Amino acid sequence: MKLLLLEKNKLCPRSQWCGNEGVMAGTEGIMHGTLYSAANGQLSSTTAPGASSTNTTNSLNHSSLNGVMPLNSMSMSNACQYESSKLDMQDNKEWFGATGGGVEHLDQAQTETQIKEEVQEVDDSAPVIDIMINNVVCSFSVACHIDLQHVARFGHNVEFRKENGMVTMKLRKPLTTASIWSSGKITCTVFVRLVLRGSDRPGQQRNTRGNMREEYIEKAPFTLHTTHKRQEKYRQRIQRSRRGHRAAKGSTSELQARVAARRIARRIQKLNYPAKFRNFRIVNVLGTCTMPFSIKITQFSQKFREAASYEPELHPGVTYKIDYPKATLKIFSTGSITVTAPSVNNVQNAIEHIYPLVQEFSKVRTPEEMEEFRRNRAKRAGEIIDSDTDISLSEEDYEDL
Amino acid sequence: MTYQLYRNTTLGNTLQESLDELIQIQQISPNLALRVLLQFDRAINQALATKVRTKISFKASKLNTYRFCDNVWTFLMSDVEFKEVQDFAQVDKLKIVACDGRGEDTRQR
Repeated sequence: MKLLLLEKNKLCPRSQWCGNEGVMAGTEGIMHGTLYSAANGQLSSTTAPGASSTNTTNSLNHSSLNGVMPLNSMSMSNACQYESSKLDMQDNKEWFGATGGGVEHLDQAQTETQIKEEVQEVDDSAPVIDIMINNVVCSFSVACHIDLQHVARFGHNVEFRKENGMVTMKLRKPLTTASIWSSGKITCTVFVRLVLRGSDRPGQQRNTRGNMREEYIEKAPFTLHTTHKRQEKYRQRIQRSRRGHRAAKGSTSELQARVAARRIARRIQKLNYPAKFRNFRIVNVLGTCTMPFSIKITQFSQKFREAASYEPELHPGVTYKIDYPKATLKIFSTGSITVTAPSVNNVQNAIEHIYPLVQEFSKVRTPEEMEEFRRNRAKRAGEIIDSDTDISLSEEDYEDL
Repeated sequence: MTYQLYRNTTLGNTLQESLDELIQIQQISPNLALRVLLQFDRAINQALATKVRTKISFKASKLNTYRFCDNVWTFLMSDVEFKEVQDFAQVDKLKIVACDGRGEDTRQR
């Protein structure tokens, strides 16, 4: 995934939720294409929020440049009318040209051809980083008291330790561990081995266990770049959903978490409890990612004293908290970063946010560190069932850095 | 710790049946039968802990269920193969009930 970074305060007025977000780009207008300033070697500027999950977002990955949000003309800023955008194109063309190549809201084919050349420049400076979503923690309630002894004796795949006062129930698929309390509250940790990659598969989020799923559009605090078709699909889904908007949102991992939670509730129901599925919410999403460079965390923590907390005797990583998007990052000197955030989007945005900050303190990996990294990677690769090579960075890239 | 775990074994069951018969024909009192069973518990626990040295390994194709309650593990497996040095035993369904041995895990089929 190309990590393209978002300027926090600027949102594309053509965001799918532009109305809801209520923040408009300044009068100068936001260019999504500002990546091209990346050609100058600076990885700053606007992004399409990552990678993930959806589709296109790895904007500027040539093939995935589908329907990136058009440059705004102020008159259109509040309207999410995709049809009209095509007309805009003409007007904006000059401006586009003038600003050194923007990204237009075109059909996929056109977009690709047009953007391809411009993108090449960006390729070199923007490394591809995979974010791995490991865990989703959620909690819900079955709205009835549960006799833990009874569940422990007649349930399947349960453990009951009185000192904890809760029953631990595990599920095979999706891999879940649920802690069940006698009040009926359940916290559920769903193991999701999901790699958010960029590029080659726009619109698909590969679950490394082998399921390829068309990703549903996520609600993003920043602009979401996607095709007409996909947005249509999403809108239809919202309309069709009986429970309304709430149920329709969420990345695959978040949906899986919901499914897992429902399965647990069903198991409890089968033990003759009047169980209902109430108050489901995602508490945390844990994602990890590895930077292609090592990080000088001591200096990093000194620079960001307000947000970062580094206690080498307690923990070998820097704890960096950010308010918007809300996330907690643990940054390690090896270049690994773990992020816990309330949603998958926040994880991506957090990583995008931290990337330039961390890059400032990057240092080339020594041969010993490389060895360590390779060993860890091989170990991890053994666990991931993935037909593709799962690390996109090649050895050469490391040398370059 | 003398578990009454072994009363539901072939040995334990036959003992219980014999005791019941004797009670039926009024040869012994129920109290005595109880005492016998308690002695049986002690004896079998001690014997398994000290006198038994053979090791058997087994491999199951699927663990259907596991359970842990009151410090007792229960496993339900299917399609299990027991291997001793030269002996093999195949079994379709296996239930393991294991109590804390603080040393060795004791089992029962």
